[in-house]
Amino acid sequence: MPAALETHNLTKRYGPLRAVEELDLTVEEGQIFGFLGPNGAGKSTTMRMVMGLIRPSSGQALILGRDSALVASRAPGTIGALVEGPAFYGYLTGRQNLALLARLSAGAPPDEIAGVLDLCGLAPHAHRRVSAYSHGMRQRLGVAQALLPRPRVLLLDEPTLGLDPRGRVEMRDLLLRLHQEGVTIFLSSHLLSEVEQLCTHLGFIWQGRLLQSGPTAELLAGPTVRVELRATPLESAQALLEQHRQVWDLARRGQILTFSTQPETIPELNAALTKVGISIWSLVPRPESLEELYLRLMEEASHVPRRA
Amino acid sequence: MFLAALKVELAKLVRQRGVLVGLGVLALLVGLFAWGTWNFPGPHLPGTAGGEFIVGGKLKTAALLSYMLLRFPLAFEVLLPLLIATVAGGLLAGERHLGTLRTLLTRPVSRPALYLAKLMVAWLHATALALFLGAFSLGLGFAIFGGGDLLPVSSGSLTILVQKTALLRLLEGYLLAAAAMTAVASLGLFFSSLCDNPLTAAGLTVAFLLVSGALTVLPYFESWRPHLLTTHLSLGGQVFRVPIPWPEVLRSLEYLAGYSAMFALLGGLIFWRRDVLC
Repeated sequence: MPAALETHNLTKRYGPLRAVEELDLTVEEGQIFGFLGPNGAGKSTTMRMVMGLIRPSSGQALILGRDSALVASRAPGTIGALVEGPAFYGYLTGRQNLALLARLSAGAPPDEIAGVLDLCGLAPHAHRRVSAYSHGMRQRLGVAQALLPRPRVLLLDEPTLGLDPRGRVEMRDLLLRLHQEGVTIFLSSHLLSEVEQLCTHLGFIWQGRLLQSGPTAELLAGPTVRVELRATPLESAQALLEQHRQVWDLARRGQILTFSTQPETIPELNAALTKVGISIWSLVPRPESLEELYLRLMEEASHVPRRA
Repeated sequence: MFLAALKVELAKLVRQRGVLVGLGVLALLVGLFAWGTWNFPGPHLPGTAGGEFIVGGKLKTAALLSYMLLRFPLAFEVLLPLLIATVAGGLLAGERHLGTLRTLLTRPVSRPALYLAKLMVAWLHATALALFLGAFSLGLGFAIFGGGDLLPVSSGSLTILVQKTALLRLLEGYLLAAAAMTAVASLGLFFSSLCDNPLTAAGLTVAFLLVSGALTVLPYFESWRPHLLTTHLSLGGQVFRVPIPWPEVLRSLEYLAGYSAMFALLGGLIFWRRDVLC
């Protein structure tokens, strides 16, 4: 069975600038794949190439096994997308916009349009002109149009952008519900806490290169842990840890030291601290959060010289 | 897929405020001509003809009003091209500017199908404007002046066309004018495929026509004149010459078709190749 989304050596160059560089990515059916990276990393360019909006300089993207350059790859019921913010005809109502766009996907019966409007919480505003919509409502309408007709793969670029906290929760619930119904979701977001709650798989991109990808649990379990240390005297503990080769990102927050290390190093650190007379009140390892993983990967990537 | 795209483009066109405003402007122009015809004496006998003939009977007719508008140079060389450029210029550049082109192209529609649909809509709009001008002027003319024969006066000659013939000539004239306007629509769509802003696209279309128009009147470029687009924009009036110069009319149509095909093809190639970044 073909993957929901695949890219093979996908590259986009603008003159000397490589926006996306030999990207190999696989999103299997049934996953919620979070595509993460800083602004300008190449997330939107990748999504645009997948949707045929941008021509790759080389390589290819496949949607359910079909080359994304072909219209057939976007056949009704295959893929729905919201790429880089919602854009609609302001002089039409929300319902009219959906009906218009659905016509390009072999049409949709009125009850299906009403269904997605209801699903996205827009039913009470369906008769209003989109020019009068708030950004959050447009965002919901953007997701609604991507669901017409119900696709097997949903590609969403920053789906919660501009939504208030309640709207974000509703959007997250909606995406989880769609996932339970079997829809594969490929999304980008800067809201890492939401991505962590939502995504089964993650991919990190930086300057057009894929740094790491895999199941969320595996990535977060990763080779390092974040450790919280309470000890006295704290200054001595800090000085010792600063000298240790297996300790990174050491920081002091009040009377707590936090640092990253490998799990197997913790007993050794415990022994070293005790040996010099430092009293340990607590030494608590906890898995790296997505935010920490993200920042670490970006930090590491920024020290790796880029290929010409 | 082309038919679905065409239906979508038509649905958007008829709901656009700019289209309604354009029709309103043309209706206003017809109204002003009708008011002028009603309030000022005489048939409109330009040039030497007014001094050479004494004319009696009913001269102010619906056909006369429609004829005057067809021969009014600013209508088909400035006003209609401007209205057409506004709409055609927005068909791609406007969508790109709003971001809706991105939304459209994420649907299962190919770029050639979408472009062809937009081209058809641009041509349809141009044709509709030209025919609306003719139909509305005739309708208003009948309401105000009633029917009657037409005296299409040109310098040094006078012909009387009975109503039936006059209406037939007007139909031919406006159809030819509509054909000329479709070339302007192709030009507008070409610039629309190049630009990211609809105003820039419309402005470039008008600027192109103004430069071309300037070349048609400047004596230095006399040898270029037969080949320029603006030379052929007032094609509609040719059917009132006696006899009708059909070879000239056909040659003008060939030029218009050539210009239209060239701009449509170039615009299509640009649209097909260009990344959608907005």
